[in-house]
Amino acid sequence: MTKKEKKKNSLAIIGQEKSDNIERRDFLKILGGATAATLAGCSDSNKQSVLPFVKGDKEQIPGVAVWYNSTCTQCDAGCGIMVRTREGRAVKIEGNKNHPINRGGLCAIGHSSLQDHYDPDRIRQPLVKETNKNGESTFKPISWEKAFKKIEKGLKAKGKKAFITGEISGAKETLIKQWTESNSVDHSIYSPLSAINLAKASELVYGTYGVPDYKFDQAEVVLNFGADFLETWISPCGYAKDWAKSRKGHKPVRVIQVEPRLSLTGANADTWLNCNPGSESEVAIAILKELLAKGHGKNVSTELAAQLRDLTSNASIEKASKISGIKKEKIASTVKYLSKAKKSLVLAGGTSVSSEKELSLQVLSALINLVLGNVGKTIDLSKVRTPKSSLKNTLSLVSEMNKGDYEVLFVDNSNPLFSLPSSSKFSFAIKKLSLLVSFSSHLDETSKEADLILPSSTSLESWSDTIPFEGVHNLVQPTMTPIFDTKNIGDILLALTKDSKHEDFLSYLKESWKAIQTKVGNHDSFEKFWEESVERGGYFSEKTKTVSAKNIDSNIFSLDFAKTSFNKKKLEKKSDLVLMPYSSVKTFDGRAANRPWLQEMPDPMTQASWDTWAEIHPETAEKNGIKQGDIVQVRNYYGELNIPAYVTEYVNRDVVAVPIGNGHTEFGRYAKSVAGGNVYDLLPEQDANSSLSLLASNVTISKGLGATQLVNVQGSDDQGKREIGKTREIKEHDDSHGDHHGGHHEPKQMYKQREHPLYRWGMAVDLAACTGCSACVTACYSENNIPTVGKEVMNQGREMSWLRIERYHDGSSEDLQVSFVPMMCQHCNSAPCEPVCPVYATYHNEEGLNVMVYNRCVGTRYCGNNCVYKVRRFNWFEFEFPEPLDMQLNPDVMKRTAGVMEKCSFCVQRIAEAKDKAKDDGRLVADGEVQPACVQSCPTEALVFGDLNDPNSAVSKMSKDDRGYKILDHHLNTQPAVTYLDNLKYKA
Amino acid sequence: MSTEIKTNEEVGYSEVSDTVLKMLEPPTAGWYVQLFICIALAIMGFGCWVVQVLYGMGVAGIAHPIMWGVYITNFVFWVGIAHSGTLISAVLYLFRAKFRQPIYRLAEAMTVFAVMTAGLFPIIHVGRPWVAYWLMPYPNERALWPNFRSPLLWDVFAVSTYFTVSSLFFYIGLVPDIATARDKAKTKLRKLVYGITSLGWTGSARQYKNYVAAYLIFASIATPLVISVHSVVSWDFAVGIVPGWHATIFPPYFVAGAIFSGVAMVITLIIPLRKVFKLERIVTGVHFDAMCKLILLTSGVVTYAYVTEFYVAWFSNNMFERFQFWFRPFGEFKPAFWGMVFCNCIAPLTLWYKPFRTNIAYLFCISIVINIGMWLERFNIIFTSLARDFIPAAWGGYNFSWVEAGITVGAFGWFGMWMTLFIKFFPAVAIMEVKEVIPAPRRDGNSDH
Repeated sequence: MTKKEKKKNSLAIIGQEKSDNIERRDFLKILGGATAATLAGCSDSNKQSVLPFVKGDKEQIPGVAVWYNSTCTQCDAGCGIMVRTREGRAVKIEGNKNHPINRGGLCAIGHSSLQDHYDPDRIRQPLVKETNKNGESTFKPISWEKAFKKIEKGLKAKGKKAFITGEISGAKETLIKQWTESNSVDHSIYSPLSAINLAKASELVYGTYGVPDYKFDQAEVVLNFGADFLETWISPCGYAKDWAKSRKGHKPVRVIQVEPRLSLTGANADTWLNCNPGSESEVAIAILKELLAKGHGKNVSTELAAQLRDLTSNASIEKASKISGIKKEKIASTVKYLSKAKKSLVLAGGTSVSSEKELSLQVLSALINLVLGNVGKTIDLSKVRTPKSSLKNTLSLVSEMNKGDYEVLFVDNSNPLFSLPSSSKFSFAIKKLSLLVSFSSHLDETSKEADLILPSSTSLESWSDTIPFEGVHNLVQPTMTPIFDTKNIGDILLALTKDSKHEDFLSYLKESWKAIQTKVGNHDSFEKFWEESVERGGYFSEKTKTVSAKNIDSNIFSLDFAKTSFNKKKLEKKSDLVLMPYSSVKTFDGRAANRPWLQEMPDPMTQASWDTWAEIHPETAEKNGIKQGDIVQVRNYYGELNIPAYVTEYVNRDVVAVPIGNGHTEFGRYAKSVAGGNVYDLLPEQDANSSLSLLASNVTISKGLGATQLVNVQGSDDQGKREIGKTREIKEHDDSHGDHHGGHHEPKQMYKQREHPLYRWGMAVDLAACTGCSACVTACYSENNIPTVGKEVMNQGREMSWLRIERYHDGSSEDLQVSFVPMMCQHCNSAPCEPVCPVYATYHNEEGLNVMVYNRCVGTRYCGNNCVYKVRRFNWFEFEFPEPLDMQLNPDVMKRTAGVMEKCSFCVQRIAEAKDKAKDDGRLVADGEVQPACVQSCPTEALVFGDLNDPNSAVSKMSKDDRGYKILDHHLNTQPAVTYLDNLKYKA
Repeated sequence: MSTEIKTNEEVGYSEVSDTVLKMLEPPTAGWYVQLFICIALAIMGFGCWVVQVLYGMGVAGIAHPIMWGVYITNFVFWVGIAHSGTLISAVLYLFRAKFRQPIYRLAEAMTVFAVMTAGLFPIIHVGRPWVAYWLMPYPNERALWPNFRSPLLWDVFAVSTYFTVSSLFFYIGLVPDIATARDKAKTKLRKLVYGITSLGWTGSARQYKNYVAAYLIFASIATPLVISVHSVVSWDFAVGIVPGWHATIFPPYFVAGAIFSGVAMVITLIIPLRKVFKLERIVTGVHFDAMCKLILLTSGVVTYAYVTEFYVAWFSNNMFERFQFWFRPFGEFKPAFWGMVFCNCIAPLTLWYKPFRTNIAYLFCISIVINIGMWLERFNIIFTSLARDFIPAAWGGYNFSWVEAGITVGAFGWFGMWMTLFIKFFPAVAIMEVKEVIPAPRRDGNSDH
């Protein structure tokens, strides 16, 4: 039917009825009839289902979110997550508050796994590499069947076969083991950042292999050699939770951080002892000696005590001070604090101690714990994590591959071409293979070299499980159908096994869970057990057996406890500068490099983004003629980096610190945009230690060619006397937090104040618990459809973040203090932005929210100028979400167009949802029922949200705390709805 | 160009008419070249604006935290320029300052065209110019009204009122002179157009009486506007909470600054005009001398305001204000600050020396220097204040952009285009009022008395 006919048809019908005085209702009926009539005339070939989900999945109601409990697989911590789906798409990831590990919070990397899932550069179907006549190779799509055939052919090869994977556990581990054994494939596990040395030291000293569970909330003093437990180390969300619990409590844990570069954990510690790289063992041994001298160690056998005295005979605080560069008094006071504490904890780990002598340090710290009697108190040996990664196996595999012994290599969940040092010659080894198969879902460095890629589904699309430690069985469940033509790695392996017993990996998984059910002693029917576990996100048993320290392995006394020496092979000039690669929450070990949220998120310590950089001490920089923002060439025999210099006092004079994970040559558009070199490539030959020695080489630095602008969002590091982030000293021998005078006093107002009849939404931020980890920043991007703008636009100062972490350096470099202040819209009661808007696009609503009406905004930007807190963001451009990143957008939040202003809304969509629900139930919104994305994400519960009208709400109570203050309020009378509770620190 | 101007030269009635009307004669090639350049610049500016609309405000150099930039600087600059026209025509009329007569027409034209230029900038500046009309209080089905508390809305009223009144005032002043042009017009078209626009002016005593009354009324209406417009514009800043903006001195300081820059602009425009159209005997040293004295006065006021700002920042003991006023002379934007001090405070001091006041070439240069200085003043107020306000973490800088530069230059083209057209089509010097102030001719033709 043509348009004309259509028009005629409908007009005719309406015309007929016109004589009878038609009502509105009838008119609509007629209109409907007319449309039906015209549609009836359409040919069948145009048939489309206009309304999806009419019958669809009973779980999926359009407009209503469905949540799935699952597990985060981004690192090996094993945090529980809840995935919010809308209309069959995952749109948000949050921490599962019922999970025993993270208990609600989730780090930035966990949040950003959505972008791993919706990565626009993901591999979309199986690919095979084809080489044309000119020798140029390209990837061509191939069917799964053909791909499987190719693998089967490969498995029949005469030469040896190998499989490199990342850390694995659970059913996947058994399946891979089964598959590799049945096909005589050598299996090697490689993960660049692993705590093998810690696990080993634990075995040597306590008799239990693995990383024990640490109880930060129980300890009074924590002496920490480099372990970045608040950022990326082992299980940061869980550790941060415990740490914050103690910091918010009556007797906050005192953290003494010994490390050559101030990490995020160091910044949150009370004392930073800046030690020379590799000298931690000297400090540890001196502390051990002093503790023994103070009479500790009565709990150990006399024989061991004698051995320990013997071991420490040469040590002294003077020597330790000389070698480490830490002042004698500081070491002595550390000893004093440890000695006085009833419960303490000594930790070592992280990238700053990952030298070839890490094991010695780990053993020493374990010995100190033993001497102080911490085992069983703050160290729980019943819940150990057992890392399986083995650099030794992987390196021997690579060297054999180089000999040409291997013909086929499979790679899954690992990118060895990027994360193995180039000195391992892995890039040559793979050239000698006849078949390299990658199961990666990303075209990273290794899969780019592959002959065949069978893309595996992400953990949001597939079934699996992980067992981080005894008693925690995590389930990973699919939250949506795979976006692309990918398969679960389990299904791929099962298909290759031609296992008739299991039709898919789910049935395999269920079977292994039957064994788990028996093991944990659950007596329900399996169906019930399974369904409950899926709903819960796993099975977590409360039961714990106590494991105490067993006899010590006397081999430890033959370890070398001297300062680490570094590889100086063929350095251009004499240099004592040590290269220190470190992992950050932005890129972790390199796997998170292609996620725009993380690349855009300013690094909490440097506030830099979309870049990689070399942190250099000002004196070192001056000596080498380097200024802030210069391109610095970091070079050793193995390679070089050409990256911007970040000159900072928070790094040792002898250290050049470079974040791990950037400098990808493949992997995707975002990862590739951060060039400059891969720091793994500068690592020297490894002595086949069990884990990668990152702190291993001396380097030279020189001014490189050109200059660049290191994108740094922090305007100034110095807050002067403005009291943006306030810190209060914790007085010793005092149960309370310092002085009692304080708290925010509402000033007398001249004018009649606004009334908030029902709710008055407000927030409280406990700076004592805020670590600056930036999880909230990423959560906010995810919830509120905030676009990432890219390096160039960000460099112009046009980032769109609604919530930022401000980082201030207070005090001198000797006695430093770092303040992190989460800054979001303060929803001022007397907001300077509101009166200046000429069109009422921003106004104060009766629930105390400063509301932004995007549709009404003309874009004068006056509100942005007048906003005291500078939290308003203007849409300078129309920002894009390249497909399929657009599938992540939250349907409850409008995507803003170019030319309008936007800002934090306190997640008004969540408030609306909770109010709707409360209205249906005929009640008011309960305290804690509304959690903005930032509040929900916070691993330390530093952010609290609720109704200030309710005197019993958590936020009301916190707002009245002695430590409370409102930023700039006493200068400007803005009356913010956000109360900050000042940070608490012991005197360094 | 002669450097020494002769003053007190005697001019006759017919000479005035002839000299001025000569300007309306068919244009020379030079005029066409000038018009072409101006239109080309205006089109270039328009092209830049189109780019900005298509790609977003991001093509301009403004960014967080400096969300107002060159456009608002230009807006304030042009509103400032617009000031002196009404001052010279209305205020000096009321004060019976005779020296205004030969220059006021040009100043008024400059006012109207400068307001036309200034009015473009808010529209160029907003993120969504297609809905800029929402700032107008018009009845609409959504019952949405603009926010009368916003200084931006006051701006809309102030600038539109100023434009309306100054245009009408301008036109009223023109009527007798258009009639003169009508009487001397040589082509039919001109006769027709001037005939209509002169509203039937015959110069009768009754008409003259009414005319003078109307002129007086308009002068009285326009006079408070001289004060109000720039006061309101200054409230855009003074009402804001930003350190460096939030000051009660802003209204008088802005008004003085506006007159300062406006008079300088009149000098900049009239010197070439005087040369090209040989108006030396009408616009004489007396007039330049008087304008220079006005510049000296306003320069003094502006300098006093600068000093006061610093004093108040120190005296208030407000750390944000104190930091802001430390940052201006010593921070990132210090060239703009010291440039401003040189142009607005130091350079005009030379005018205390009379030979400088009457040296045409020098005056031309210094008038341009003053206008640069006044542009820098607005730059200082807007950019430096926004760059360093309350939250140190959010401090930021400014990225220069060619789009902003293009639009800024285009605005001069747009203004120049109207000025160029005006001088060719309407008498740029008030014939009638000049005649009022020259001595009445004697019968013997010798006016030496």
